[in-house]
Amino acid sequence: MIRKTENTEKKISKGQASAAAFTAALICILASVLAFTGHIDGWLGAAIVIVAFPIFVISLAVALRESTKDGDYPFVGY
Amino acid sequence: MILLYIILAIIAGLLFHGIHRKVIARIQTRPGPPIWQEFLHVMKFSFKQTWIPKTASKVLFVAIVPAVIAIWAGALYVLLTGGSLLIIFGVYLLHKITEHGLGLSSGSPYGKFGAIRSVLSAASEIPLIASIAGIYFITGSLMINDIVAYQAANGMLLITALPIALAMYVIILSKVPYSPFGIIEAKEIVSGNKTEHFGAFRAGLEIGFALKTFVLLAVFVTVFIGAMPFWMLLAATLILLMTMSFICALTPMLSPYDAVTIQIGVIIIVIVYMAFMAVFGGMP
Amino acid sequence: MINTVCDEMCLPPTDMLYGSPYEFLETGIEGQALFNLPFGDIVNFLTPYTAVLFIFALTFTIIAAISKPERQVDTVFGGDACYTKDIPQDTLRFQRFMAIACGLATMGGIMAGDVFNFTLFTAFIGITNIGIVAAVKNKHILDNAFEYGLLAMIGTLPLFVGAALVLATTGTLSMWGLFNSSAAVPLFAKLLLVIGVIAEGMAPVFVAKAEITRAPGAPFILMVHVSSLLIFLRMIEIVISV
Repeated sequence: MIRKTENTEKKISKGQASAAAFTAALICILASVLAFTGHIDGWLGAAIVIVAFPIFVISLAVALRESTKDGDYPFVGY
Repeated sequence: MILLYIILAIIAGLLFHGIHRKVIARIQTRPGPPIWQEFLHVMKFSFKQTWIPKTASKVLFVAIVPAVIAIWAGALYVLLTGGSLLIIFGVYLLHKITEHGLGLSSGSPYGKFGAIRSVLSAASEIPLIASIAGIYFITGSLMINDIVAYQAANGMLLITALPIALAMYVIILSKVPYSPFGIIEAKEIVSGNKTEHFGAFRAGLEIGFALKTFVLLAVFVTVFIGAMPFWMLLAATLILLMTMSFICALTPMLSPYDAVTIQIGVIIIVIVYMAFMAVFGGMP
Repeated sequence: MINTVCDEMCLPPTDMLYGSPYEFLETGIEGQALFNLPFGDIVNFLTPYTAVLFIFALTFTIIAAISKPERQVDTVFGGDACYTKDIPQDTLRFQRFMAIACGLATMGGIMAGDVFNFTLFTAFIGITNIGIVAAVKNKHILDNAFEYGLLAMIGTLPLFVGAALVLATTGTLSMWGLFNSSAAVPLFAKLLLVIGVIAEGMAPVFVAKAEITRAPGAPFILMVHVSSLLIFLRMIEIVISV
């Protein structure tokens, strides 16, 4: 049986992904700053960054992804 | 300031991948892509349509990508703080698991074959990287700080423990792009275990792999040559990478059988060396 | 001070090992212990190294618990058609149970502060790995599960003999005691332990053989690899440290 390729499932919206990226970035920066000023231990800060940073990368990329609607080609110029 | 270092390492790693491609191209008398090509790749994949294949195991498909970035970010932290070399060894094995998960998660036959090759190559890569245990018998410690201190006192391990350095070199060589040992992403199985990860997920993977390349090269330089200022570390890793670019440019992709055979040959060299050291002294 | 009390065995006396408050383990191999959890005279502990492994095992156990398996795409030979495989509900449930059990055994093996507990958890991982692979009703896959099962059973012999030799030669099985003391574990005992763990951890190779015949259930099959490689890592740590 050949399966159809069209996707009918609910997707993560760009807004949700942006919010996740923003939150993860905030956590990363906050943990770095707190570890740098000595409010939390260095290893704890690093652990938080190590967990939050990949989430930031993925959610940022998901947020930036091209829309499936027509007429939206970011950074291409048309 | 781990965040800053992670970002710097990713930039360096992506640039290294670009330089690697450029060097390979020039050796093969092609113009080659610009050295910032890998940045463009990551940007391109970020702005592409992204979805999860319908046949994929969704949670695994997504979760494996942050796992790749997280383990190598952790390895970078261990390297920076002079922690245990055993943790970096552990991260390398965790990377094998993520490679396998990457291929399995999509349900695609190409990904699956990449994953199976990853398991087969583990049979020779695990003993190879386990040869760092030899460093413990020479220096009496596996903490990177102690190894650096040992080298400052007794000369660099690259010379005094050459076979172990060779084993580590082969390990890193197996992990750079276009490697003769890169059987898991050979072109006859499309892109191997990365085949079905496209769009945002591939962007994340490229970032994770850039981090991996930088960390592995930096670990080699630190463990076998010694501590050095940051700019010298960059220069040394770049020279190390270029030696690998020559090998990648001049050798074809090996078949899985040959790749494992050659790696086992290196393991035998290490075992003979260790036995020689154990019998005729040299190990404290 | 320790050596004057107990010169012959070169082991710290038991009240120093298990006395309260526990002194943190410090070796030049994996850094200082972060945490310990005493059960009577068995002290489980985490070092930075095992903590990394523990978190990884935990993550993948959670992934196995919550994710649905993939549906494999197979091409029909001689045509353009392809079909996807679905896993029956009961197979799925059994595989998921075994994967979670395997994850728990792995975490136990990583945290074990006692060589015997470590070997016990390793044997447990072997059993659950057979379960994960053997859940799929396919001749080739069952053949591989059977072969692996034989190997795992044979492997328990060197595994437990290795642990027994450690006890016989040093008088203790506690890693707490073995790591800190200079009591030498004979190379032969270490070798038996290594052989035992390798036999139990050979599962990925057999799974790879089974996977060529396209065994489905990615998140669960991945647990086979997670458990085997993590138990290898723990074994290398123990063999270097003791």
